[in-house]
Amino acid sequence: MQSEIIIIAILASLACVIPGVFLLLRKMALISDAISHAILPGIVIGYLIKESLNTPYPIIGAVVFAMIMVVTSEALHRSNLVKPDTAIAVVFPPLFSLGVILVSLLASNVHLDTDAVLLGELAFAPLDRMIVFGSSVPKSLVKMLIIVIINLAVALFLFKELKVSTFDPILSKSLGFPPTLLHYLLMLMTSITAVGAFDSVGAVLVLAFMITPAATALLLTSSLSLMIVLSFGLATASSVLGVLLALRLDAGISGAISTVMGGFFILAYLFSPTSGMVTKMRNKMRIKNEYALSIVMYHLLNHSTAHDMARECSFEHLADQFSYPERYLKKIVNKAIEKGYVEETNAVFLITEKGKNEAILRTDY
Amino acid sequence: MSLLYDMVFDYTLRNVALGTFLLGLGSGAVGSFMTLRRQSLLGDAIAHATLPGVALAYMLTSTKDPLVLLLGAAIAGVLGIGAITAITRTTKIDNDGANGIILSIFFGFGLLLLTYIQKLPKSSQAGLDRFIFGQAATIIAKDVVIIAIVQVFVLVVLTLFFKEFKSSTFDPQSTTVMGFNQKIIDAIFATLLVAVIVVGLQTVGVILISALLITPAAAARQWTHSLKTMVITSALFSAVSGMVGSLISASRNNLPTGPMIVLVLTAFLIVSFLFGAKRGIVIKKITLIKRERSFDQNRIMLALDNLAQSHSDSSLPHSSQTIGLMVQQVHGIKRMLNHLTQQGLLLQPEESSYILSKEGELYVERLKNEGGLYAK
Repeated sequence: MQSEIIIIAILASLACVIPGVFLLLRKMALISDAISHAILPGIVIGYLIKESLNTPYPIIGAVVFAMIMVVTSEALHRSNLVKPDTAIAVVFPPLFSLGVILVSLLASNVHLDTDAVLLGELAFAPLDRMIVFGSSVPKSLVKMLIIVIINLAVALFLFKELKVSTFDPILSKSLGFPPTLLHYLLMLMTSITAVGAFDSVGAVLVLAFMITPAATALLLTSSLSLMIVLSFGLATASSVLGVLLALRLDAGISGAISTVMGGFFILAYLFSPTSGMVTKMRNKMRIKNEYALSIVMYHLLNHSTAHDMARECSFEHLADQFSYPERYLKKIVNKAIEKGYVEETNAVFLITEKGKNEAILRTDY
Repeated sequence: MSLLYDMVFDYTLRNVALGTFLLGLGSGAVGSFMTLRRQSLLGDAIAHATLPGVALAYMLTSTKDPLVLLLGAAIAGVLGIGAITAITRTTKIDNDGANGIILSIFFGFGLLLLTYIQKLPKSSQAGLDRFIFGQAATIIAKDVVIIAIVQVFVLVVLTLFFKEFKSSTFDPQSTTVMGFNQKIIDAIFATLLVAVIVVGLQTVGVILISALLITPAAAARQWTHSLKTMVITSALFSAVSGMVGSLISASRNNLPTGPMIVLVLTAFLIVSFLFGAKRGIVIKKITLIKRERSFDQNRIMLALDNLAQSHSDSSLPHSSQTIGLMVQQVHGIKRMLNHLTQQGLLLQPEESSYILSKEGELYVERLKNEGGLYAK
């Protein structure tokens, strides 16, 4: 049971990651949020037809409403009535509201409620089973597996088309891959994924599953294929840890998975080897130290032959000259001595032969 | 009428109507600036981001005192704005992505906490749920007072700093040059945003509160080109929709307030898209038709002038067929010729033959001086 929940969670997050990476890179991250909200009435209407979520009708309904949302918001900003971000912001709330009102009105005879809409019910997913090749498996597992395979197939088959149209739409058009077609393909993929993930993840957190692993990976690499692979890894790890966390706390699973994903994002934001805040700060410190070392050595080199060397090369004078805090300067000078660039005799610093070469080398830049 | 009667005399309904009306005023006003600053989706992100604040405030204090919960929400909202700014400034993730990340991380964490609280033994968490979809029926007199104070604060600050907000919205560079600190203006604006979002939470809910900001502003934009008028119109749209929506929702069981308000707001928006006085689709269409008519009219006048010049006898009338050949692709040429005759610009000496009148000649003269076909 527990392992089945984990597998479904992993499949749901993997399915979401594939469109998510491209949406993030196309600067359309919030479209996925809008879509995952806008499909709600479609799902409810589709559900009502057979009173079940495991028929094709909810998916068809969801795709129809997703397209309504995408087409309407694009028409609105193309007609210049509102700006693109406003167009999205005004189209999905009424659709979502319609869905919520339908759910609330029909609450008595429908096995959908607002909690299920928001949170999904991953914990109950293994209860709804079907027989595949003679063995009993949860229906949502099969559903998510199919969506993962479809998304993976599209992503692999159209990888270069998606890549080019994401980074350079004009080039893509001139190469004969119509960006508009690929755009709608991506929208279609997003809505199918959103509806598939809907009953396990919930409407609001589809966004987390799509965007957060992709954004974390973006902080770690600049290569698209590596980014996708990393996102897969992050999604898998988050799903496993999230389910375990949720079971331990007896709390909602999708919330827990999103929280773990958020944790990974914060880690990457701080410690990413290429762009993390801590990494950047350490680089800055290193550059500052190197600069201080260079400038001290250059000063010592300049004054190594002068008649007032005793005064110029004393610690007090250095402190006076460079206005570094004394402790910091001491650290820099000690580092120079440690490296054998400088020697101290009678409280006067003398630059060594090795230090001279180094100082000249450093100031050559 | 009975609803109106209840609004005045029924205690609950009076609170609901007053509370949501006030709520709309501030959010509609703040929302106008957000749409113009292209931050329409920021409100959504911040609203979602307040959820963990509510849950943590409850967990730490075990009270459901709205002031405590709203304070928690406000802190989380400010953190959310800070995080979005930090991510967009320091990484290659764009604004949309940063909004999405903060929205989903905060909201996911909030849901985790909320579901955790729900399962705790002997905790009466019932009521925290209402922060998700909003429940106007729960507005009591104390809430109305809180809402009123916050809205007055928001509107006063907006009025005081109107000039700064206006300038920083349309031309951030020159605002800096004029000596205003963009960061301080942004911080004040962020405070207002968090304030209107937080007080709206229990009524409209975290998911749909952003619609209360953005939808009325988008609707108001269709009616005016003046910022001041837009802010006022948007505030009124939002206030009226808030009140109407929450009253409809309060009038029946099982009608969540937030979604109901959003539907009313959207009705306003659709009407504005169609009939908005400055940008509405119908108005644009009418303007377009008018312009086409005047263009065609000018073509006819110039054609007649041309004919008069190219014939030795300039007093000779020309048949509508000849004119039709000169100005092709004009629909309803006969009707237009009649119309021009009625206006006195043309004379019709014989059946369906026309010539410029004195006034018509003056009109053509003016056309030639003022930019030909395109003159009005």
